[in-house]
Amino acid sequence: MKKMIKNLPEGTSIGEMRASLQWILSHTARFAGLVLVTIQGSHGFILINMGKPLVYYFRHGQNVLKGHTAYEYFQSQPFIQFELRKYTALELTLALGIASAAEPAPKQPESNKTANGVTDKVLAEPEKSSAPETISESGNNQVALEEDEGNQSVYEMDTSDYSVFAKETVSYLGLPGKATMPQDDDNDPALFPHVPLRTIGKLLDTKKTDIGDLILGQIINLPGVLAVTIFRRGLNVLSIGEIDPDNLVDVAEDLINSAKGLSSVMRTGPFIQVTLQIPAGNIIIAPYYDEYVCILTSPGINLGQIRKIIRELPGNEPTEKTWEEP
Amino acid sequence: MFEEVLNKFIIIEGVSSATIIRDNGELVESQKTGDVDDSQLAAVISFVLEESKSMASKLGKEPLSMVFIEFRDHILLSAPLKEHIFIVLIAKPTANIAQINLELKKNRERLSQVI
Repeated sequence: MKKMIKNLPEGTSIGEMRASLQWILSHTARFAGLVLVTIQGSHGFILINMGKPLVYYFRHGQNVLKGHTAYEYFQSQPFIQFELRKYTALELTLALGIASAAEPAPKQPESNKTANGVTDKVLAEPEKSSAPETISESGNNQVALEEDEGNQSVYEMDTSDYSVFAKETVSYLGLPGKATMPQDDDNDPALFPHVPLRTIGKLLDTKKTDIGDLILGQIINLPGVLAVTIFRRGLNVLSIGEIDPDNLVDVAEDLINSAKGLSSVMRTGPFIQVTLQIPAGNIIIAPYYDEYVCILTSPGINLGQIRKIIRELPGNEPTEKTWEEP
Repeated sequence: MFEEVLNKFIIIEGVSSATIIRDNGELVESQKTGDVDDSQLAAVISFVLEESKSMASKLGKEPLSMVFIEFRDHILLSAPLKEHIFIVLIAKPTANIAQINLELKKNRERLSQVI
């Protein structure tokens, strides 16, 4: 747990106090950052983005509580000792990636089953699976639920505004363009394109017929890769991993413009990639088809490995048409 | 002293220039081969400074360790040595990046001490 918190961005401490969970949630509507929690000498945290809790986590010895279970535990406490640490947009993105990449709790095998369950549900043929596991087609936004009908929430996905690449990826994965997907955990947002790394990685890894998608799957499954986002003209097209893609795209656009400015004063040839290295991780941006891919990694990832993958991305050949408005 | 350290970068095959600059544009020291045009170098330096400042403000508390930009014909590596002072390296894409990074790590502290 201490290592987990140590790996999270430091943020800016606002102060410490004691209050109930409900008070914390009701008074953080304009807060983005970390709520470090201490209960009876054990520690946890809530990652919040403008009032919306993203991650609940608590560890007492070998017992780790995550998601709804942690939420319920926090709620059971009359008062919680906590410290507020404000995050920048990038710190929040990194924290979310780190928190989601943490090992699953040893006493919560349900989380592993949940991941597999999401994968199974996504791959299931609608006409073959039982009613509770069917992903409904367009026009039918109701997903029949069996035992958890009162507790599961759902996401809606609509790809009508996606780029050609994103639509092809959705189709490639066997996902209908409009669907309601079950959410298995409060902190496991299964809304495509914000699909958890483990799920999309497994899905792409099983299909090896398209070199482009295989490479994307390779990126996602690389150790240390926290998230991947495809963007174009300042808009997020496809995000994989639990991040805030809009903020990351904002930073990525600046880097693209920086590189573009450099090429206007030097005979550099076409742009290949730009890497921004900070203590909390790396941000790598490269052209990808008609869009740009932005990869967020933890600090320890092998940059040589990433560079090799980037150079082999389809659409990244060094031609003069590489430069497009981001 | 600077010349000695910057030479460690220049002798790496493929490295075209190694420059130490202040954030006000003042050139502290520079070593380069004949492959880099002076006017281009000045433009690159001012560009890198501006973008580094901009990125630093975007990142908030996160300090910038390095910016690495790769093109077909050149690569550029920029890293802060100390507050307000940067090193900028320009090299061919075939240069050994790992070796450049290693020299940077080995000599960064030494450089920052003499600045």
